[in-house]
Amino acid sequence: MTATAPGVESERQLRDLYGRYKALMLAAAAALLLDSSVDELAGPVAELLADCRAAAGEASPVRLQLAACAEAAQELAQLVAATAAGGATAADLERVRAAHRLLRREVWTVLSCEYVPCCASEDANHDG
Amino acid sequence: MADCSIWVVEYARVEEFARGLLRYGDWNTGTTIAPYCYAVVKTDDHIAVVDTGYNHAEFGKVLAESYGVSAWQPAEVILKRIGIDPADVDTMILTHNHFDHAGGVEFFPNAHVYIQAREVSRYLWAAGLPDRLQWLTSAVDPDLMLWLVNRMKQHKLTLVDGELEIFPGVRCVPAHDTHTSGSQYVTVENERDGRWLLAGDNCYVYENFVQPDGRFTPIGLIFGSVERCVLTMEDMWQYVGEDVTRIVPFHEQKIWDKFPSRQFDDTLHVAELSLAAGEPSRIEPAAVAG
Repeated sequence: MTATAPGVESERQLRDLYGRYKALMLAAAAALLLDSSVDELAGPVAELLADCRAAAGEASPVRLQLAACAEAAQELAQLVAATAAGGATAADLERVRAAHRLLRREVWTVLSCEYVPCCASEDANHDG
Repeated sequence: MADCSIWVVEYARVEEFARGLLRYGDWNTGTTIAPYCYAVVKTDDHIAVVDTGYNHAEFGKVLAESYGVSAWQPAEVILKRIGIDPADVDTMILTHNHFDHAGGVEFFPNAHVYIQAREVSRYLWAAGLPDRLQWLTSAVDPDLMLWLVNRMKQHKLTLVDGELEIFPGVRCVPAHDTHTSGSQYVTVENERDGRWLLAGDNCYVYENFVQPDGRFTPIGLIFGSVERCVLTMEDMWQYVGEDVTRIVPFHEQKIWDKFPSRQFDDTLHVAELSLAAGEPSRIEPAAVAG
């Protein structure tokens, strides 16, 4: 057996939650663009929010980033709820966009920017 | 048919752009300057931008720095050079969703947006694939999708399915499965001086079309099919009557020599391709506001 270093495990956890958030955020965008139901997203988004809050409540070297993830998941949950209730407003969408941008700024302080091509990724930690 | 003025505006550049990206197969042949441009089409009734550049902040800044982009200027500065306020732009045609073409959408608050539905749907599909396949979503800001949702709620988004006349004389033409899944290019049919084709990234440089052996060579960065790229180039070539000067690449530095143009103090250029009746030149020093 081998032990996993705490920093590595924290980064893995952050990468996982950030990835789940992005997938759900884009699924919500797809549903809104296609004017289709977001009902199926409510459960996974609630689960993500719970996981983010739990992770952010623990001692972690990436606690700030996990808190940003929880904030972004919260805004996404509100967007999904507002959409299911009859219509998200422009303000709802702008809050999701702002939370997403804040999240990735925080994430990129500890993880390489995932959008930079691998050939250029050596220097891809940025403060946004 | 219409009477359009057409400008190509440079908003940034890469000083050392790999030639192998500009032309497929030019590996190990060094680098060259690649301008980053978009086009402006103006009639009596409309002002359209074909692509938007990017915003040098957050996502755009991170990617631009990774690509070595320099000399960036915002739309407010660039369009002032041709006497246009970005708020007056009523039409935005996105050739594809890469950050250097669709990353400046927020500079144009009043524009109705036209993008191929396939460009959006295929991106959203690819974004749901496993992480190991995310190269397929390279250079696209996911925030664009939420921005498009908001523009849709304002009834200012058309997800185009195929070819569409945007306004008289100006059409978007699908170029699916080429540079990207849902790319398009824009044609302009002018009463006064004939046909123009605003290529987006369906070609990067004139040399994609014109070689001593007469054979097309596509761009070197293709997310779709190389075959579709070459066959789309043939469609483009036929549209302009085999006159390469009527094809307008957005990363071609030779454009400044082929058309009346001006270089500004920040080293960026504007080329004036066509002037409608009564439209003053914007590249004469006396006509330029900034």
